[in-house]
Amino acid sequence: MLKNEKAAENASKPDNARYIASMHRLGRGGMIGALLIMLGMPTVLGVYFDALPGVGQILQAAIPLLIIFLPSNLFEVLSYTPILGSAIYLTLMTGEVINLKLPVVNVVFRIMAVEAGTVEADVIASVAVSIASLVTMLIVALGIALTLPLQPVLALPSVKIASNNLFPAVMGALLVNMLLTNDLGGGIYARGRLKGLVLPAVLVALLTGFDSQISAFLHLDTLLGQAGNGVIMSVLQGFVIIAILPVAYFSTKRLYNRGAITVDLRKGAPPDE
Amino acid sequence: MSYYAVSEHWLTYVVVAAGILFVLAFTAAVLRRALRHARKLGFTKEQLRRVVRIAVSCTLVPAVTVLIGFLLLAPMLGIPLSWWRLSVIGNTAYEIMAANMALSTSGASAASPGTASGTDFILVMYVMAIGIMGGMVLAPLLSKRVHQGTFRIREKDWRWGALGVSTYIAAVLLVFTVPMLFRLSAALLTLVTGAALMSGMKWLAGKPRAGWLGGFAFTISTFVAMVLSVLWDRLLV
Repeated sequence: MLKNEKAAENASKPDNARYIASMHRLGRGGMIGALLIMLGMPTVLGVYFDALPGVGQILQAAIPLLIIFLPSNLFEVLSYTPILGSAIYLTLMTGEVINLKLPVVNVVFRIMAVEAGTVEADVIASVAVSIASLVTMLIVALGIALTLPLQPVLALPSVKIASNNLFPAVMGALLVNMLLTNDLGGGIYARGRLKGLVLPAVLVALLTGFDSQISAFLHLDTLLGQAGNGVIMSVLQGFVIIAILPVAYFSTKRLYNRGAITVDLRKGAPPDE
Repeated sequence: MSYYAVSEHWLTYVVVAAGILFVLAFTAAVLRRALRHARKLGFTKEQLRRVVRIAVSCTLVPAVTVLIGFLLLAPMLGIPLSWWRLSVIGNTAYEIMAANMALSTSGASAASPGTASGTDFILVMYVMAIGIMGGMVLAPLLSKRVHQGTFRIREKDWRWGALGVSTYIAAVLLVFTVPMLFRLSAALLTLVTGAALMSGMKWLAGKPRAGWLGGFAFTISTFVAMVLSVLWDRLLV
């Protein structure tokens, strides 16, 4: 009897490892499907209209774009997966990551007191990203239906200015969560964590301040056809993020190991070990 | 056939609709599995409804800018392709760049594609898909390993696990925001306004009977900051 009770208890525990594995399988399948559709659409149209372009012409235009965006694609996968978990696939598929998906997930984590990097966070991120994707598709669909009456309003110069400043508005709101609280979610507090960000902040500031000089010294500006302009914090920003992540990581780890940054559970919250 | 004859053809609407339905089906599958496992983990229905409400609220303002992006793209790409491109990976700036690069190979321009052919339109579709597919190829190859690495770090030392992941988010925000501090611009003032409004909203949400504001703080502060950006832009001209 005792053995059956134990088996029943074990069977009723959520199998987190199996869930995570199944979400990654679903995500991989979804990405392959999306890739086939993205390439299949022009192929179907090209065959129907007998208007397929040459492979050489396609590659001539596509390869430079791929080279420009590959670093940022790599940084998105490496830096967002720890935050989003298995929701990364849907996030990348539906886009608008830094403007929409990441802020939504960040806010939901804060309000629901969920700690990033846990199974709970993975589940909540998947729900949040799914809802954000569905709402966006619905609003765009409604907008298409209302294109004619909406166009005069949405074409106003002030609306365009406001739309161009969505990104800094979002960043300002997110910075408050980063700077004005020690709360990491899930009842966990980190004191002194900003100390670990001083070195990366200084490096980013130096790269920004001396961008055109560094770009000229390394001939990056002429290489990218931007002679005289700084390219590191614009065209090569993806590389900068990939480089800054380990600096922030190890800088914070060093201070954490030395006890300059402490992480504790809020009183009353059970340890999650 | 001409560029616009293909871009607004019924078959283009059909293939785009098929693509949108695929994305919808995938989204629904992810949501269903996540909700089912959330219940097993002990999240109540009310908690999950709260997550949905917060996600909807935070999506509204950014989604309107996606719509504005659609209005910018539609004259160039036609309605169905613009709808598809803004529903999947990419953004307005990328689509314009990709269209320009594709059309320039045949002597046309994204600013006035009227002289381009149907083949050029299909070329634009291929280039837009291939140029940004890096993430869709890398994620299946790398994400599971990175994700499992996150769990392993947390298992060894849960304190460092929590701190390490938050450091990732903070580092990404730093690279995007520090450059804005270097020049007095509408973007900088909007950043500061957004931060000030968010701080104010969080303070208010801590007051008695105002806790409900917490779920809308991000949306309200972002929206008001965007509105005020018009004022900053006029002041700095």
